[in-house]
Amino acid sequence: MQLTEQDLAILEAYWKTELLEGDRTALEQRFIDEPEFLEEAQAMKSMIETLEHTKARTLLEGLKAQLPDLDTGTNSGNSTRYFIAAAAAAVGLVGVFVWRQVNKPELTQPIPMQTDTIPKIDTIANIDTRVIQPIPTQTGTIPKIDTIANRNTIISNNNLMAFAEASFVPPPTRGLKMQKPDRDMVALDAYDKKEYDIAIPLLKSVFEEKKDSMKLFYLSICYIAKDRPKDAIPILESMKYSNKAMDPLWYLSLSYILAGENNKAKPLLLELSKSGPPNIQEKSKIALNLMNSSSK
Amino acid sequence: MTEQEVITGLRNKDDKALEYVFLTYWKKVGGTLIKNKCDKQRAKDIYLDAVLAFRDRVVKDDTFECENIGSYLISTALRNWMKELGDDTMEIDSELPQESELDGNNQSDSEAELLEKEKNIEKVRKGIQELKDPYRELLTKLYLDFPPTILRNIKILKKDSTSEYRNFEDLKKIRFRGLKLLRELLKNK
Repeated sequence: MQLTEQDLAILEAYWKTELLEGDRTALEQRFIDEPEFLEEAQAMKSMIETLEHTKARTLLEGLKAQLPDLDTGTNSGNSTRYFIAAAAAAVGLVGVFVWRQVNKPELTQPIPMQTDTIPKIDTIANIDTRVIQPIPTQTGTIPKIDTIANRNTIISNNNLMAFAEASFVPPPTRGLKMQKPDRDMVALDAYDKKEYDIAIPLLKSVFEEKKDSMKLFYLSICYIAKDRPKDAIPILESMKYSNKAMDPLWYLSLSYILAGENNKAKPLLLELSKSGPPNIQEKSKIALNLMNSSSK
Repeated sequence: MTEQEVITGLRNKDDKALEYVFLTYWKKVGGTLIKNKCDKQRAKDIYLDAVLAFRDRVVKDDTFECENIGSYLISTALRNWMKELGDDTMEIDSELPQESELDGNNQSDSEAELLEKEKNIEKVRKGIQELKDPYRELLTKLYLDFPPTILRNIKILKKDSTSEYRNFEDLKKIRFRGLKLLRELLKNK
């Protein structure tokens, strides 16, 4: 199978997400109908990525000569300057502190602290590392949990949605890659590579053909990853008590939260916090706490 | 350039964003490496690899975001330096991204994967040289030359009056044909 130049032009637009809806659907249908075409497209993509990587390396190699040599030695002149600057900064800070103490407004009520009821987030093994921008807290009454060590991610405790996003980790496919190369494998491979646009139509078509519920499960995960939780919900609802090893109940709870349906997520989280696997129990408790704080 | 602009730029294959990252964070990352007893010249190589790994991560994973590029690069570079020293015991500053945050699958490329990557790069380099002109020439200019003898962004090419190619459409065609021929060549090897 050889790609034509026209194919290449369409594929490049698709990879850059510049294809119009109709053309995109047609191309995805072609992926399904012609596995050889899909395979060739992936090989071409991989070759172009290698070329782009090579180009980037060439550029950096060329720029390396422009990196200044770093002077790591310390001399007494610098030390003195740093010392004076540090001393001035310290004096300034003390001044600001004293001024704030003198001008501090009286608090009529103590701010209730809830930190002891919120489990520490840094104990979750698999928390996703995507950076969540903190949503400013609306009042001073909710203490922030941005003091957790080891984490750039700042999650304010009234930000349940952010927690759900951060907790969403697509599970890897399990031991399925030993199958002979076919559409199943291409679909799962695309899923594992987070190429969800490719994985979605393939998983759909494999499910329709073989009625394999695992494919449906992975399809729901693709939907969550593509910010389509409402599409994931009916699938996960249909399997919430099957395939327990894949924690469908947990992903259903996340989908509800991401779709803004906290009331539906709550009973599931309560159930998971009592009888889910240990790491899910812990995350569920956190989500419940966040839910409670945000509803106060 | 904000961190978000850098990431968007890298995803759009904008060389300026890559150049910005490379020239901006050197002092911070290089300084840390040298403080950890890394030779100045070696520090530049390790830094280059860290920037390249960061670029690859951003390009391949469109859900990846980074709040602090400097910390990410320091963490990657320090780990690679410690691996080179055979010292796995060093504790990375807890403020820096941890190992699990650096790569999607909780670990960096294995030796075998790195070797495979290098092999593929070598293959495409050789493949390009085996093509006939104008394909060889154009792909070399686009991917292998520094500074790029054709202006960096192919969209600018149509403004280049010295270019022997007549217009942007010509270039696109030659590039597509070149890529197709290169793919055929590599497939048959």
